[in-house]
Amino acid sequence: MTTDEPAPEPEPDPALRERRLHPAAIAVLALAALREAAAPIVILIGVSVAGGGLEAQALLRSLGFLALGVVLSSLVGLARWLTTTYGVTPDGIRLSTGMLAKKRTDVPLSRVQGLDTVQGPVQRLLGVVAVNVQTAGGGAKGEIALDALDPRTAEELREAVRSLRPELAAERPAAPATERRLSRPMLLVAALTAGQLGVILPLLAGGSQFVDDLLFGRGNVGSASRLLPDKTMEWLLAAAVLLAVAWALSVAGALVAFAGFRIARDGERLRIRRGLLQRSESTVPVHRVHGVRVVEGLLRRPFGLATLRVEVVGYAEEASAARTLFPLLRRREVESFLQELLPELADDPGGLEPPPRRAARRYLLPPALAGAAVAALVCALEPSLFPWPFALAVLLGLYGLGAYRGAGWRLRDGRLALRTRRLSQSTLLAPAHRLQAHGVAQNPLQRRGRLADVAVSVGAGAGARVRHLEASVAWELWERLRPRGSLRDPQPVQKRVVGPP
Amino acid sequence: MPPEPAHRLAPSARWLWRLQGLVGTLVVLLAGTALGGELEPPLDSLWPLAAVLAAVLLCVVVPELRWRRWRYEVRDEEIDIRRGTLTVTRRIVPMVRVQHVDTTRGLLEQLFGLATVVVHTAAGGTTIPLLEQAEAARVRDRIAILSRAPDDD
Repeated sequence: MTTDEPAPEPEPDPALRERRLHPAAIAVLALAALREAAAPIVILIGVSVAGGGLEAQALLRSLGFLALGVVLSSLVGLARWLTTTYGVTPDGIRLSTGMLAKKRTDVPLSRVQGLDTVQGPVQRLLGVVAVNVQTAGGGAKGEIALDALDPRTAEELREAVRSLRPELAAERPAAPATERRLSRPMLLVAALTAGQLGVILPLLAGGSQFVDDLLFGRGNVGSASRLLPDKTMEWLLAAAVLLAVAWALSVAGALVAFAGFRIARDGERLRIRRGLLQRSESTVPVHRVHGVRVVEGLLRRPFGLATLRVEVVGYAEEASAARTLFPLLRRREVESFLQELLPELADDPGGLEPPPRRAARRYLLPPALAGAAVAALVCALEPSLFPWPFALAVLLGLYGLGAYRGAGWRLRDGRLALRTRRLSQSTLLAPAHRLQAHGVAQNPLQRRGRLADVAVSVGAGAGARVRHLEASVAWELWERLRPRGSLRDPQPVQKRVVGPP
Repeated sequence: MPPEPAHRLAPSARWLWRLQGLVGTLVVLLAGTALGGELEPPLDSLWPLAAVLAAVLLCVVVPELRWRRWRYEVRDEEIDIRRGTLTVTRRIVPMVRVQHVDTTRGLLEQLFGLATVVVHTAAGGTTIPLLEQAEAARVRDRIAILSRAPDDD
């Protein structure tokens, strides 16, 4: 290794300039290779089992294929480990991989946005960690993924990066000032109420009861049963089973994703750790958080429970679990939670200004009429079903009423709150000076009724749109959200050279 | 309601939209000739009416309405856009959020000597379409000077 090139201050540990991953990486890489080869192996085994005459012989042959797959993957893992090196130089972090086709990735330190430490099941078994180097637009796994490092080496790496870019401050928190954890009971509740599927299930149960009555003549509509094909019941059953499986999966998914969830504020960044099988730790710089969303699912709202999400600039590709600020907390605790961990965005999600009363029918009628139209169509095709399809109109009308009761807005001290309700209710809390854009929209009916919609977009493109506000209110809001005067960023932008407008 | 943004799109934008409307009308005409005979008696003689209606809407009413509604203004602190045919939207993009800006010219636009300005923020692109090429370049350069969005804020 040459050390005679000019060494700008400060110089990282020379040992970090060129090194291999921890040998445990062989196992990690081999497993990855095995996973890539899984499909062909499964097909081979399937063919040999299906085509093999003698059972024992076929079994033996599939075992042989499996063993061959494991051996080959291990060899690939070894070869990949031998040909993978990484290093930290004053210029950045570098990773080179590849036996035949060499691939080299250089990430300048100026582009590094964080080092995420992840511990999957294999890594945990072998006592190593994976480090993902996060950059803007690098995707969920980061631009550079180091699959297995000794925990001490990972710490050295952080140290080296920190010594070169102190402002990155990726240090381990000595004693995090504030930390919040998700308790086990809350985790269970979060998992059970995860996803909108939990809503569909009871509805489906009710629906199947109804169909049951219809088909087996416990009501006086027995004649309808003859109109429905025999297979209907089977289809419904299959759909029910599918939904139940999907729900179970969503519960399991939430348990796995949010187990051990904890969040800590560490200076200018939030550190979030979560996960059961795949323990992941991510760091979100506070200045990238442009908004917080309080989401109250249909099953959670009656109990005053909500999920907190963040709207972040530059992390667009990440999964929704990664955008979760906290999986479940009581709605009335939201403001104090934010005061503690994210005071920059803390606001009360309640006490918003509703749209005017005369707007109610504009929320209610369109969905109700659409439902009625569909119901009329169904009844025209199957008159015997009358009047049941019109329940759809009532349901959609209730949905519209919910949308009206959920809508609200507030702009106080430069902090905007917009609330909308579809099935779940979502309140966006965002400082006005952080908005990406805002607008007011009016269709001809609204122009006549002196109403208007207000829409904002925040973070990486998500937004909120509150419909049918008083037009004068909407325009006043539009005016107050414009970038000028008191709404300017706390650190004013440097003076610019500008021509006359 | 606040005063309107000062600038309109190029007057020839209407002709481009009319041309596009003509394509839409042709589609209706083709569909009509192909399927018109198959329709029930009262409807089969009505389809030419639909074609005329489409022609009037797409080639006359919509382009004119859209052009009258479309206005924009680039100020020191913000880009102000009003657009829409039926639903009219008034949108503000703060200069501090603009990451970069460029101009594009589609085939039809080149034919008419027009160009589109695309303003990129973290939340996506906002377009000011169909400006005279020189005007588009001016708008682009002005926005580029005024925008100093920090990369990561």
